[in-house]
Amino acid sequence: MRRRRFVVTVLLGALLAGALIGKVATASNTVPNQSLGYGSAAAVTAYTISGVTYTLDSTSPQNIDQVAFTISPTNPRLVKAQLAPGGAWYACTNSAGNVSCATTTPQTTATGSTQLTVVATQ
Amino acid sequence: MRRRHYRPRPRNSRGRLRTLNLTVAVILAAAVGFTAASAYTASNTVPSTNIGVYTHTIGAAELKPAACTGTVTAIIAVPAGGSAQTYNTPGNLILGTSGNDNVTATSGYNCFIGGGPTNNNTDTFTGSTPPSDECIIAASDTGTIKHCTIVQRSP
Repeated sequence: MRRRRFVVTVLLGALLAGALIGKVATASNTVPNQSLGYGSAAAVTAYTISGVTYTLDSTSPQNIDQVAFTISPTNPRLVKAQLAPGGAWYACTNSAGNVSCATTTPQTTATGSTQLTVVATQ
Repeated sequence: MRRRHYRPRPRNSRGRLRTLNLTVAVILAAAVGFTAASAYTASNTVPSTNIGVYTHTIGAAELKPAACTGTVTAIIAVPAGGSAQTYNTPGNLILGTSGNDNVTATSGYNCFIGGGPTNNNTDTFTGSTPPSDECIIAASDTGTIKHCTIVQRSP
């Protein structure tokens, strides 16, 4: 009886140890770095941005209060915009593909805005 | 004198056999566990995703309000303070300040956006001749707007 209990315990321990080793072995697998947009067409699709409009502040038109555009596909979970390289990133809101980004904190200026960069991810 | 009792050999062999069986069983159990865990994690899938980066140059044409219909290629920020400013090149998006501005444009098409103040605005703009400039000025503006088509009132 004691021997049988011992055998069962040892077997269960071996089973668990094997499972643990298997888990650890696959957990350490790494996905190689890839360029953005790399992958099969079905899995990774770039977004299309169109209809970009900038709203100048009505009282201080040298300031830009908002940038808006449409995005396709219309379902990104996260959209951020930047109006100058190295500048601030602004959070955007997406309503069925109509995206708007307030650019007032920090305030963006017309002369300081040289390049629109939009990053979108699902 | 009692005869010394030895353990029979066959029983000793059976013990070794048991140990061997146990070892094989342990290895098999570990292999089964490893395979099961590996198969489970290997079947994990990363859901398909969309990701993208879009870049586009921002220039005067991009910032120009739709109300201004001409072509602009440069942005001019009028300095604050209200002093008289003269611009001699055409194709400017001339952006006023929140205070009163005094601007003269002498050549070609320009789009002037006066801005504030909202009340008692006295922005002054003199466009080129023949008149081709377009102006967006405050609704309360009582300044002199010459040679410029007022295309919108704001603020």
